[in-house]
Parts: sequence; C-alpha cells; structure tokens
Amino acid sequence: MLLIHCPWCGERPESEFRSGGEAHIRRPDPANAGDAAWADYLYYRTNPKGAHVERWVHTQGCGRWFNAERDTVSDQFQRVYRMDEPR
Amino acid sequence: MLTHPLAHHQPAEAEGGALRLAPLPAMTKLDLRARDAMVERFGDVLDTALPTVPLTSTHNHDVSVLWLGPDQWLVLGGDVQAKLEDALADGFGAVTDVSQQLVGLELRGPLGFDLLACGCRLDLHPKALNEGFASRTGLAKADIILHRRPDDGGPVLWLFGRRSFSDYLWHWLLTAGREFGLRR
Repeated sequence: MLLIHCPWCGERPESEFRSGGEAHIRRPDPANAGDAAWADYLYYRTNPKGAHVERWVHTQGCGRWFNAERDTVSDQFQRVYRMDEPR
Repeated sequence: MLTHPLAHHQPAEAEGGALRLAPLPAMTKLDLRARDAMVERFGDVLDTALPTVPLTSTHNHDVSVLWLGPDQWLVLGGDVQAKLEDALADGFGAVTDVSQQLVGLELRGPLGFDLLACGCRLDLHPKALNEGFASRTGLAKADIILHRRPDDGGPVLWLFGRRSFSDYLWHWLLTAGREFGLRR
C-alpha cells in the first residue's frame, strides 16, 4: 500500500486520495491570449519521465487540495506542499 | 424529530465483553465551517475551543467537537444550533444541521480496532489512534467519520456513516465481527 503524506493528516493510504493532474498550470489572460496559448493551456502537459508536480486531494479525509512532487518512474512521492506554499 | 434507521437493531456482542456493536442514540450533529476570528467565536459559544490540531477533538460536558479539516468541524450533541447561528451573524462561515445525514454506530471493547482493521486502511493500533482521535476515512466501501471516545472501561469507537449506507455498514460490521465472536 502506497502511503501519501497529507500536509494536514500525515501519512494516509493512497486509496483516500484522488489525483488532479499537473500542478501550476496558469490560465492565460483572456484579453490577450491567442489560440496557441489557449491550446497550450487546455491540452498540453509536460508528461516528464521523473519528477512531476501534481495536484492531489485528500477526498476521504480532510478534503484539502495540495501539491505533490512525484517521480513518475518509481511512483515515489518526493515532496508535498500546500497550495499556498511556493513550488 | 431525530430518527435513527438502525434503532430497531439489538446490540451485538462477543462473549467476555471484548467487543460490542450497537447503534448510537440519535443525536444532534452540526457541520461547522469557519476561519480566523469565527473559529474563536464558535469556540466561545460551545464553551470549548474548536480543535485546531488535525485528527483531534475537544469536549465539554455535553458537546464534542471533531476536527474534520483545517476549516471544518463536526459538533456532536448539545442544543447549540441557534446559538451558533447567532454567533455567525453576518460573518463568514456556515452552520449546517447534518443530524439526519449521518448515522452513528458504537464499537466497544479492545477488539474494536481489529474489527475495523478488516476494512479500514488507517493505522489502527490503539497507540496510533489516541483517545479523542477524529477523522474522515473509509470503511469497506463506505465513507465514515471515525472518532475514538475517551476510554470507558475499555476503548470506545464511534463511527458515523451516510444514512443511505447505514444498513450496509451495520451488516458489514456484523459479518466482519463473526471472526471475533460477535453474535446477535
């Protein structure tokens, strides 16, 4: 069983969490963004082999969203940090 | 009037008092959302500070307050809804009556942890799950709120599940409890 460290609840089983995809994706400014910027925002993700920053939510616990850096090769969580903390 | 969908069930017990499963009496349950100054204001009304340490609870003579999240609490018992709503006034927060949404079950005795371990993935060692522990988690296929009461001649665990899951939880606990001698 993979344990994920929730910033509030501590070590909890993976089954209590849901993944929310890549973190730190900025919505472009609607006044100035062109098609390319919108396409990038909507469809393009980094998909790295190795460290990947993701959003996770502790649905079956405190219900909070947080960010996590996960290694996509080993599935090891390297770091978790709250939404209001810097990357 | 508060009702309890499991009220007609007789408690189930294992010989020797190592395990007892019973529906909890119907009680008032309030969901609180608050931040900053409102946390203190609610605490004053309840006569016990809202717990700010994750996975803990606070109590006074007739009310228990369970930590559910950094800005969310569950208040058990008491007659405090009107007073809390007054305290809320025009501030940011919420007081929601969830008495009928959540259905309570009680597990008494040292085998309660072993029974829960059949379907709950938390660390359920009695030392990891201190008295006063409170958290949402899962049991088998259901979402529950798990709360360890102050010991009363042995460990006491309270479970709160969604009303529509109450029959499922009851029968799941009876079935899983057979291994530990739980009999109706």
